[in-house]
Amino acid sequence: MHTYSWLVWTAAALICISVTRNPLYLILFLFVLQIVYLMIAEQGDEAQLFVNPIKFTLFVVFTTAIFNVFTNHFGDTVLFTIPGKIPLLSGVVTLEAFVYGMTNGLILSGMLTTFSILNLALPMRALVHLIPRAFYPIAIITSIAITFAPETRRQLNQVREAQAVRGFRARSVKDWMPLAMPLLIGGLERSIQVAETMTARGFASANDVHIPNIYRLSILGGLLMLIGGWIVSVTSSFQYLTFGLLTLGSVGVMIAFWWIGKQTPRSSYKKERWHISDFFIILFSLLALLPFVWDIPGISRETLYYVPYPRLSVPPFEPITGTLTLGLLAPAIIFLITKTYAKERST
Amino acid sequence: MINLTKEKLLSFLIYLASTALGAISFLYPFFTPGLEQNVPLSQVRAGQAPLVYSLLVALCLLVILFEVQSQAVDAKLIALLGMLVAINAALRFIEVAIPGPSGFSPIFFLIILTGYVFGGRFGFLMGTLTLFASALITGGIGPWLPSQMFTVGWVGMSAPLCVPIVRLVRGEGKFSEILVLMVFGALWGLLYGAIINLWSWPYIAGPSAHFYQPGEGWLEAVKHYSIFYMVTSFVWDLGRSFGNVLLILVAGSATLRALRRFKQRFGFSYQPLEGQTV
Repeated sequence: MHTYSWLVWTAAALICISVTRNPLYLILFLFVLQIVYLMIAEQGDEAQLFVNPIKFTLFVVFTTAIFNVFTNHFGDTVLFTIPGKIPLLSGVVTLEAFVYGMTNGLILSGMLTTFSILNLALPMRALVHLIPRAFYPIAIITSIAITFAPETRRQLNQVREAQAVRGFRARSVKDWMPLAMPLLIGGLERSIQVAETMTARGFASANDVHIPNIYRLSILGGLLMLIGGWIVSVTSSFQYLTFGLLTLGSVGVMIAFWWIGKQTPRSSYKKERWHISDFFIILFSLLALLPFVWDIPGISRETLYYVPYPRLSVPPFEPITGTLTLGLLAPAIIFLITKTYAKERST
Repeated sequence: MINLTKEKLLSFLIYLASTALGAISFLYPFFTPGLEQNVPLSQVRAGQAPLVYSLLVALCLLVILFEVQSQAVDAKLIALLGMLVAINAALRFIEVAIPGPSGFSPIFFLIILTGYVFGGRFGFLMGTLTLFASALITGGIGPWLPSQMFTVGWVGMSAPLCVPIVRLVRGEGKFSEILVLMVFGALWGLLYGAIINLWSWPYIAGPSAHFYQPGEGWLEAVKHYSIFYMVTSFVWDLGRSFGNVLLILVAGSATLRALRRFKQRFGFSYQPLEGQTV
């Protein structure tokens, strides 16, 4: 699947999760995301992730619910009371606070799961490739860093083994010095070699690249508009003016970067190709997003907003919104179809 | 000459505007009275404000990175920064795999010292790219990343503020230099947590005295946030602060010597001979 279709899917999922506070929709989102995660984990390098999203979800939902229960003493359905005058803790413990805390946990877990899927689905080179062309020095530094980070870890092990052979044992923080300093100095020495290699291979200095002031003025103008948008939002209720200034400012900055980026040619060893499946992922992601950002006749947006206080009630649910949410399953379905097709071809 | 001055002025204004906008984006929970006073609590939480301000932080980060990257224009500095980021990213990898006590993180140590020795722009790049590279390596890319990158960038960018203080106490190469850096590391250990928590504070909302309440005055908001911070993060951040102090105390002097030596070694440039082209 194309990197950009993954980005559209990620953006759609993130916006949906950020917009609603209805636990029913959030649970549905997490269910959808976990399915996509399990499908993608089959082909991705799961070891790359330090946190398993399923375990993380359970941990975060439980932790935030407990945290909220003991620090928020609102709601009508009292479970029990913490006596005394312990700051923050003393008071009634309510079911409403539990549900509210759980909702917070569902939002955080949803965001983390979405990004875990993105991390699994896209290779590191695709992520580096996403760095805009105007930022090519950043892209080079990042490439060097991610290339040499595993080497640095290996070097640390080598230094540790070499010191261990000499009978060295690290017992306190000070004992880590004989390990840390060779690592640092070794890295700095290697940077000289890397710099010489780059120069020898004709790495052109960017000193000669002059950026016309008009582009930088456009950036400055954009920033000033963004600040203006913020001031208007705080001091008045002109929502359209705020929106206009924020949009214009962002567009001004982005256009300047695009212009500057055009001056930096970029070559690709292997260009990504668009497939029909990408079209479906983008289409269904946008369909899932629709009821969360747009007032569609016949679909109530009120169901997106839910507060369990003061007395817990069943959250409202709009079947059409729920059904459209399933559009985020598109990557999992396409992965399943591709896998089945590949299996059939091999047999 | 005039062009150079114009460019410097433009650059300064861009820095100023993007830093101001970055600060605004972090501090927005304290300034939301006008719009959201009459909106039900649920809708404010579900509203776009946190998302919009996260995007603004990302945009500011891009602008500052764009301005700062002009520092890393030649192969030597790019390679040096790449290797230092690799070392720090490896340290963060180890930290993620084997978490240290409380909020302790070894990455701040090198960011502070490189910012102090090589200057604020280099420190900013070191901070932001350490987090970016380590997020790529550990699969830690998320909506929190721009805020973290920005804040850690500020750590490196502000490190040269120690230089005049060290000069004032005539402490270069002495223990007082390490002492100044230790205080700086301790302050940022706490400040980093306080700034980063602002990102998640509006999400972890509730009708209580220490949660985000849109529509209240900024003084009330600061009070609520202070309680929230003290309850949830202060002890955790003390660990980071203490870790910074300890690392600078133990390894600061040797690391400073090494960095200064390599700064001298990198302080040359290739010049074509007269009448020749490269």
